[in-house]
Amino acid sequence: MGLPTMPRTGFAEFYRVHRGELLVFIRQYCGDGVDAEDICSGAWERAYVEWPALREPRSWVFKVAINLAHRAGREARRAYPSGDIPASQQVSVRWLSSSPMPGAEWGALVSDVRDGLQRLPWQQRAAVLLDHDGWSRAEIAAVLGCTTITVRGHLHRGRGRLRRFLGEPSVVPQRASGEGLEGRTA
Amino acid sequence: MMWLPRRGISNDELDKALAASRRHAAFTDSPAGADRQVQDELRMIAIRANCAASRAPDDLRPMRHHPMLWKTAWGVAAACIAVVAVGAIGAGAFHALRASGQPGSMSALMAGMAAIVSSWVIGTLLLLSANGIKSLDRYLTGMRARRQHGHDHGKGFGNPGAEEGSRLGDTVTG
Repeated sequence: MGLPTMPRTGFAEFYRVHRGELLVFIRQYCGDGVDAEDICSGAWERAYVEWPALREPRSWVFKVAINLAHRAGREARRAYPSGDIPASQQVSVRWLSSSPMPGAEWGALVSDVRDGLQRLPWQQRAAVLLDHDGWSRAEIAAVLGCTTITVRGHLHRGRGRLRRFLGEPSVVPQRASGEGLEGRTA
Repeated sequence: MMWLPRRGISNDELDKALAASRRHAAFTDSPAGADRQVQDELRMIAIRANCAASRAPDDLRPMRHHPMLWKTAWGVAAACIAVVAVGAIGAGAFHALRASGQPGSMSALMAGMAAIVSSWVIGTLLLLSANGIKSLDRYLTGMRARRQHGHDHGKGFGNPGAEEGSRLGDTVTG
């Protein structure tokens, strides 16, 4: 017994266009100890199954990936309640970009941003990341399952908390000395 | 009102920081072999989706103690303890007031205690019924599927993923 042979026209093209976008989002969204690639492949499998019935596949697949990320996070927390994930279980993030690997100062900044994102509630985290990726408020609302006004609130609070966290004196000195944000180019 | 500057970085700086984070997590295919890689991944997705759809009953994973069942049990126990505690306090107060000989205060106290207990019980039952029915439904679905396929290996097995195929992505799991 397999999947019924329904047409899946356009799935390959959709996957080709959005797979990198989803993987980058999930890598930023998830904390340590969660395999972003595993989560994404799970979401794509489900999208493949449901493809003929999907009306807004982009929002749908992101929403499923967020659900799977929550489940994976719960399992990671259950497995390691103290939060200390053994080195053997940590997921190594392969560097797949064609641009050069960031230096130490970038690594410190990225680490700060990741820590700051993990402190946000999931709706705020997702809203901040999706907004930064250029999603419209309506699209973000479809992913989060709320109204555009609520999305605006999540964005305002999420960005505000992240800005304050990144500007905290306890965070700034951890970065490489003399490396302010002003001198960096994205 | 005195204006106080807000701590933190500016919006531009935050955008730069997010862009750096995004670049760090970026996925850029190397031009050579990218198409083949996508084709391989698509093939793998189709295979795994087919495997999931055709999973035999023998492959059913053992069901762990369902957290919702435990939550329900703890909720019932907590509600019972709360009702007993409120009842004990009420009985104590009732006896104290009866000894003092003020019937008006006593009836007011009884009415108040009855209102508290009943609202507590009703609220708890409403919460528990939602959670309990959901968890029991999932548990019984697994039991039924196993029995239909003649693979009843005894206690502790079920099909936690039985409903997954029909509700994927519809709800935030948790």
